[in-house]
Amino acid sequence: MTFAKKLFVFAFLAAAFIGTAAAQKTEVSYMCWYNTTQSEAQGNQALIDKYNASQDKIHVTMIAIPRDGYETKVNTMAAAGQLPDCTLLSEAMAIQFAAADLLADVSSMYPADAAPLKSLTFTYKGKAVGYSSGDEVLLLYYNKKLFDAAKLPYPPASADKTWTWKQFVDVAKKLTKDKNGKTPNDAGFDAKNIVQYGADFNRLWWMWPIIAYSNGGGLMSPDGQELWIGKPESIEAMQTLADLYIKEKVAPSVADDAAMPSLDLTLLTNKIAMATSGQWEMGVSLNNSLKDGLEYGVGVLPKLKKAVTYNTGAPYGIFKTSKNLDAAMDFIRWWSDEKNQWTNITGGILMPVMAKWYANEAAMREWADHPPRPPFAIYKTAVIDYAMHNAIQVPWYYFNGYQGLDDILSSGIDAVWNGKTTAKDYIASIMPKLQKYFDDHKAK
Amino acid sequence: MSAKRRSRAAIAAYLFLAPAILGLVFYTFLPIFGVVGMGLTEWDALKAPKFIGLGNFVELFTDDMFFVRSVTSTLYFALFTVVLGTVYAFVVALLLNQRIAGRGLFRSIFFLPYIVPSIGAAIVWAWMYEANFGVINFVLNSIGLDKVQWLGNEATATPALGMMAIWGFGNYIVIYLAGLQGIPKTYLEAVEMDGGNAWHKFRHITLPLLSPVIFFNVLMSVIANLQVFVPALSITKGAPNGSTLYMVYYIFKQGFWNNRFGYASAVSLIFFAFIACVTAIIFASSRNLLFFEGE
Repeated sequence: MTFAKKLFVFAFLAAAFIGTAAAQKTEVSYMCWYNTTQSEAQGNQALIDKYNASQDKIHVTMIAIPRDGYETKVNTMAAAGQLPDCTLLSEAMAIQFAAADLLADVSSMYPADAAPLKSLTFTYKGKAVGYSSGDEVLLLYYNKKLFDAAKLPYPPASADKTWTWKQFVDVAKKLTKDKNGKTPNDAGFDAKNIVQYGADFNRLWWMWPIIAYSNGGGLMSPDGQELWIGKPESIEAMQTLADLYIKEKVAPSVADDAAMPSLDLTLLTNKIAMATSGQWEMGVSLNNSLKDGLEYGVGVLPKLKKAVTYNTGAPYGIFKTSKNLDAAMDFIRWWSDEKNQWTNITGGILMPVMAKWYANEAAMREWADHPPRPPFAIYKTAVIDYAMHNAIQVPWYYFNGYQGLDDILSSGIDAVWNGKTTAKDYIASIMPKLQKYFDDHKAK
Repeated sequence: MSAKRRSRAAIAAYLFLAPAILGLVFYTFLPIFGVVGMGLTEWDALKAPKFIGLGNFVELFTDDMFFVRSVTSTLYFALFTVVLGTVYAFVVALLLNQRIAGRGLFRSIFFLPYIVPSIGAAIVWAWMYEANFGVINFVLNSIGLDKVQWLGNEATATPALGMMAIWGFGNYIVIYLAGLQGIPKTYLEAVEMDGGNAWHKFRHITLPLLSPVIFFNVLMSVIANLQVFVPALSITKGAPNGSTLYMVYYIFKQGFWNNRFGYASAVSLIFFAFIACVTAIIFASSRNLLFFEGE
């Protein structure tokens, strides 16, 4: 055999060996979204490459879909029987898939001493079907310069000092200005030409019901068995929220609100002095305007009766249809390790999922004591302690078909926010449909 | 032609037609049958479909709180767009039919929006309508007028989206132009010989001879604009307060957001019947308004 022939045979055998070794790897497909740019998908791909290189048993392929078409894509794949092994799910979809018996039980996916926070568990009929990919809570953000100029104290940064609604409205009135510089407390205040709103309590469909929980009502009971939106406490809270614009004249209309720029610009340009939104704003929006002089502060939400906020976070799901459940779980376990999402966590977009990161101050400082987050002492009480002790789950953690319930609830809700009808009349008009939908969809 | 050559020609014809026929069968006719079947089921795409007979249709007409709103908002959009769009396209075509400098350039400019990808165009329009920084409000503001929440206000959302659709009427302009150029000059000269003016030429020659073209354009634009989808999907998501919850978007939402594929199929069947009725009404009511040369 000539040298060339030997070389050829060797190369052939080597290729066959490598090919066989590669073929022995368990294939796992993981689907996720990217928000605006492909670079986000590229970042995820780089991380998956790292996982693939870190071991030789599992090979993960990523399917990256633009955020806008994500639900459509997942549903289409489900209809075609071509679901991936594991996926990032939007919050509102998770329990729908669980109710269709498509999500694997993940309660034993993590060891007990390295498990996610209980508050981040999506549960259906007592089984854990997914854990959030990050922790988020609703907070009150404000523009410090406006408070300093008006010589007003900053909103409280701990749950035990939460403002009552009256305190919140009083401060908001002092910070609301019309084009002549008058506030709603002054005679001749021109409510049609407000240039600076004192407060905006977010009326986004899934966010606003937190104020109903604060009043002793809510959207539904935390076990998902009782519809609470018709309770007098819920209706009263809804009307109180609507009155921020209608009666108190300190908040923008829903149409004006929809036209507001991102939170950082809203605060930076003095359009709104205080606004509620999620923890993610620190890393997604507020960080963008720090260089332009934004001095933002963060506090806890005002209360009606009790200090409470929502926690949320999109979950990872592992489909039962997967032929490689163990491999998919292994990957998700690796993928959801905070150290693999470190840039997002220290950058202020996400809070960690695993309980160990909240266990002591050193652990908390490691991820939280960085800009664009505020000084740790403030962040600890206003965000971390608030999340640990005062947060309840958005009902999409346990209710099947939250999106459909909201379709009914939001169908004419702008009329309440605009004062064309009252919360009482509105809820009464849709209550039979809400109740029927709720009864049809609650876990039985 | 011999019988053998005729049959060979027929085979060749069928072969050439095959891609179109197969496309129609597999991508149009079979899906229509599929939709009819799905419309009789409750199917969330996650579990096996359950046959429920006419249950979806009963729900649609008795218990659907969005259906009427969806139909009226769609009709409003179509009416607004077709009426204004027809006038716009016709007037622009008349102007572009004149002997003016740069006529070719103007024709291209007016046709161009038609070939711009609709999602891209929608996003650019959304930016123009943006309340704080959009160019339209900037212009209004600079001449002392108040800003308008174009897309955040129930009263202005559909007209705003309608203007966007009208902007893309370039194809109709081209069809009108072709019609105008097909009118024999001798007819127009005959009016002049009889002492008629420009109005007489328009009223008694141009308009009657163009009536079949107008009819075609109106019919096509009614059908196209009843099926409006892209602006609702890419800009308003049915808001504010359901004022842009157009039918096709509603069908899409029921199917792909609420996982009610059976129900979405039932709504699309009703919508299909609705468009067929509108088309039939337009046909029936316009019979006496049309003028066909040579009849």
